[in-house]
Amino acid sequence: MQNVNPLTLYIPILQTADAQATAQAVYQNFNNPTTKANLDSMAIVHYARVALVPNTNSPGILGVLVITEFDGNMNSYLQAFWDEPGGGIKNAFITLATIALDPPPGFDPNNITYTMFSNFIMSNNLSEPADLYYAYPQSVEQITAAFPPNS
Amino acid sequence: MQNSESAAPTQPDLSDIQGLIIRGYTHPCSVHMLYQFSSAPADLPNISGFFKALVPYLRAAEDWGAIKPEIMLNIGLTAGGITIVRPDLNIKAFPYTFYSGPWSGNGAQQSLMDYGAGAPSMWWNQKFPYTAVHCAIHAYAMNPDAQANITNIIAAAASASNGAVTELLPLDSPTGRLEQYPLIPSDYIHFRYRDSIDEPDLDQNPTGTDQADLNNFLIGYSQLPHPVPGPITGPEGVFAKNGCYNAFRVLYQDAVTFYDFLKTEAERIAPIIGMSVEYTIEWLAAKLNGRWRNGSPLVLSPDEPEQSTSKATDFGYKATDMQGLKCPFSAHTRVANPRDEGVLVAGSTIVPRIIRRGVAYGAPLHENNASDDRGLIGLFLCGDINAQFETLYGWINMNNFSPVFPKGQPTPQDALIANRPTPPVPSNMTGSFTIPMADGTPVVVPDPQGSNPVLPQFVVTRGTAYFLLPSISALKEIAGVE
Repeated sequence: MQNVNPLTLYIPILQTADAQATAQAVYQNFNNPTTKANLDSMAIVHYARVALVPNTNSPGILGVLVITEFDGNMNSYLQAFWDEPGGGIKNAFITLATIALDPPPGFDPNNITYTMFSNFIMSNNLSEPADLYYAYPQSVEQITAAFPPNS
Repeated sequence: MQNSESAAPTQPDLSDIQGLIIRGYTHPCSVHMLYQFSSAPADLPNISGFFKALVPYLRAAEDWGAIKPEIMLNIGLTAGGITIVRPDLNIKAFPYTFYSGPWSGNGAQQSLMDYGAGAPSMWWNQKFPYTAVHCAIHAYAMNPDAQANITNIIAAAASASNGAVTELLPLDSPTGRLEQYPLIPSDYIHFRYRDSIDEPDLDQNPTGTDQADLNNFLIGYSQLPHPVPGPITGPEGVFAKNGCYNAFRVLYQDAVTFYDFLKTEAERIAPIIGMSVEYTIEWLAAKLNGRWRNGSPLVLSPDEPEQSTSKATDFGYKATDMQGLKCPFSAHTRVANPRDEGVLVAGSTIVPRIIRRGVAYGAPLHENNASDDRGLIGLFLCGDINAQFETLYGWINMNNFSPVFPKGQPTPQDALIANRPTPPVPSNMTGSFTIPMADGTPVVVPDPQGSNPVLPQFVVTRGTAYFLLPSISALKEIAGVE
């Protein structure tokens, strides 16, 4: 009966200069006003961040982590990304698939289906709902209604 | 970005589509038999032989004319079943929730929220593991003798498989099988409500964008820009075309608790609304459901059931009931189909639809059978389990999908079938049900002053399996027949 759930998306990436640069770009472009506006409008994401996991014994990036907590079910969460009018977050996920060591079967970034999109994210999710500690069960909408953010 | 799920539209071929998808069978008898396949590759010919024996009774969606077939069947396969009968296919090309199963904590259970006595670990009365279900045979008959005949035919086909096909018996009943109970009237279910009144019209226009169009249920035809039936590419797309998913859910209905609840609450509420206890029992049953027990929608018949509206489907909420004074916001039928009320979930305004093909099991409650098993054998058909069935079930468990629910208050739930929040898991939900009243003072049930002001668990999940109802041609290929 848990009503908040985690996503811990871990994508090991190719060890090429292009892939390393792409991962850096995804990381640096993530937390900006556009992303905030998109996630605010969804009103189900408690927080989200991207992290780059370094290689252990050499320079560079081993993989990309996307860590979030959201209200309700993963289904609504991923559909919201897929349907997002600007497509920025969806495209960031698709970009990660292009540099993944293990991309989705038959992956073509210019011809991707929702099934491929959602299966790629679900199959790289390291979390289970039972893993999540959360201090409060209230939803983003309930919290922002009670404590409206300063504009 | 292209979306390859926008294939060129063509007219569906009814001769290749299982009849259950298109037609609401009205046969008075049915049995829903579950099977497990051997995973040994050497047993595949015997499994194929099982299918071959059933093909003569397999019913397509074409018109059967004036006379209903006396016996007939349709077949569903789980992801585990497909993996065995079609080992050449990549099951991970199917949607995640289908191949991960309805017990998945990262998938289906985030919407279904089964716990306690209804938790996946308790499913099928713990007679077999939930992963054992590979196949369902939905058999229909015109009378009990015919049902015995088709049941024997199916059982004999399994017996002839040399142990490659094993029947799974989920119930504590004489046969153990999921058998339809012939309630009277036949379109009523336990709790004494008329059911399956409003179904999608399944318009066969292949370019249709209405949620109720056939192409939103049938794999291979959708023109919608959001998640659509799949897979549609590769050999998996070929296998799935003309198929439809069946979220098969067996739900125990606790009639004793439900009837006691209605009586106890009606005795408290009757003086508040100035009506008799007998009327108030029916009034409360209608408020919980959104329709009177005869089927009349509260929006059209707010004060009493009416014969003229008992099967009405052409109505909305926006024009006359956005305060919920006729139909409460969390009434079951309003949650499961909010119509024009207005929906907004994570940016989506879509109201999904599902096709319901449910029947009752178990005898109705009488004074000597309170402990008997009874409930609903639910067949919820959809092209996208995620976007249709699970989205609606998520709404049932958490009424947060519409602006009519105040954002700053605990989240309400479907009054009849939601899984109730229970400690120690923290929850943002309320377990009570609010009935708005014209004088501005709502009636809240259960009694807020009571020791446990949470709605009882009226419905408990007995088991769930996700099936694909493949095309006739896909099933014949498994059977090795033309």
